[in-house]
Amino acid sequence: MKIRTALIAFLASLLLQVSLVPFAGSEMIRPNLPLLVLVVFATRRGAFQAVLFGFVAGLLLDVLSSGMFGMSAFVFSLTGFVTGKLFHSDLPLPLGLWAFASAIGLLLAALAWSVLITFGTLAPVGGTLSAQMIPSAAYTWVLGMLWAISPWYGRRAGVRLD
Amino acid sequence: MKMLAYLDRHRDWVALVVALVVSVALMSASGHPNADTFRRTVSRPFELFAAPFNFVTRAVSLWDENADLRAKLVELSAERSQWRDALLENARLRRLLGFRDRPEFDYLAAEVIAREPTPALSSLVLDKGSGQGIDVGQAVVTADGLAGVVHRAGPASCTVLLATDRNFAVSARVERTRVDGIVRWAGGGKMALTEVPRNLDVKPGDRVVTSGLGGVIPGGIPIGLVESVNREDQLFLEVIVEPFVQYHKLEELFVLLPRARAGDSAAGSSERGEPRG
Repeated sequence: MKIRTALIAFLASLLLQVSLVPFAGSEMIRPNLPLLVLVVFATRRGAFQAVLFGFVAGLLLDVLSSGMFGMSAFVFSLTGFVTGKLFHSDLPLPLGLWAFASAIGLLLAALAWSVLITFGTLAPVGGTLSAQMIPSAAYTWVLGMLWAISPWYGRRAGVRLD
Repeated sequence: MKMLAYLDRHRDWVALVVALVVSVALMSASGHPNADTFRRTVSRPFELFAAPFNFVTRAVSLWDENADLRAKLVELSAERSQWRDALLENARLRRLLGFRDRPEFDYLAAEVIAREPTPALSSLVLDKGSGQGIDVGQAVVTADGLAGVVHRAGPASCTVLLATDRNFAVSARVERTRVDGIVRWAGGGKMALTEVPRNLDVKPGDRVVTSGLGGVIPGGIPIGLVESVNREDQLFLEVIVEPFVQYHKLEELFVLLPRARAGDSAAGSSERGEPRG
């Protein structure tokens, strides 16, 4: 995955995230397309570049968000690092490993977001995680799997379908 | 160089740490309503980590602060004691004002500056003397009643012979029946009303006051209550009186100055012998 492709994909996902995605889910549960792009990027480019990409992408997301500035940068940096560290591969990932890698990445992001929200609001982390973040992560994971089995996007993203 | 090489080898970790630190700093510095709560929550682990180190510096500062507070405590305790004394003195003076019903006398306040060193005698030294109009034989009272008479008067001090001294005597009267007698010290903390004929009416509980017959000590000053009456003697009653004044607690007294002498400044010291009563 080239940097330019990643940037275009990210900007496109960001555009969708702020325009169409709110209508694709409920008030509490909605997919996170920029995060999905980050996970794909991390598996292809590794932890270092994923941290940088995640930090900048997170800051962009924070600009558009009503949350604490820096929260998305934190989550994206951490998620990019862990996913890139564990699942970086120059070769396309088998579908099963991609499913596992994206699940880990999305769940980690959900956990990190829940903890940060808890720090900010002192709301119970368990409630935030189970009622909002994990369902949203599952939603995103399903979209990621659909994207992965799509021949064109799967090939671009490096997912091996065998 | 080695450091740079090390950082380059672990650049992904370095990038992560930098990204996370910057993110946390941005969150803490943001003006979001949740930022305050976030800052407090995030700083809590650091406070726990820093607690052992802070303990040492705090212990040193607490040591100094403790010494300062102790000094302040002593100072405040002394101040509180003074206020308390003033409060009690105020109460006593208020009671005395109620007692002040003698227009022919002025009350000169005086404080006790010394007490009789000889156990067999009972007297006090006051901080006022002939310079303030005090003369020998003048009555000395408290809010409760008669304390004694002026025995000697110097320019700036005077000696008061207390009613509990064996040499003290004052003409007195039973208030209820107007029976006259002479009050003397009876040993211990008691006084005796003597020279009272056996057939006269005196009962326990009767109030004894000065009679004013001596001409120096005015009449009507409370002395005490009749505690017991013994009629075994064939001529006189043996009347024991419980004095009103607590002589071992005297602190400030009032010397009764005849109006004509009030404010006068007697020249020199006066040593005029035994008190009259």
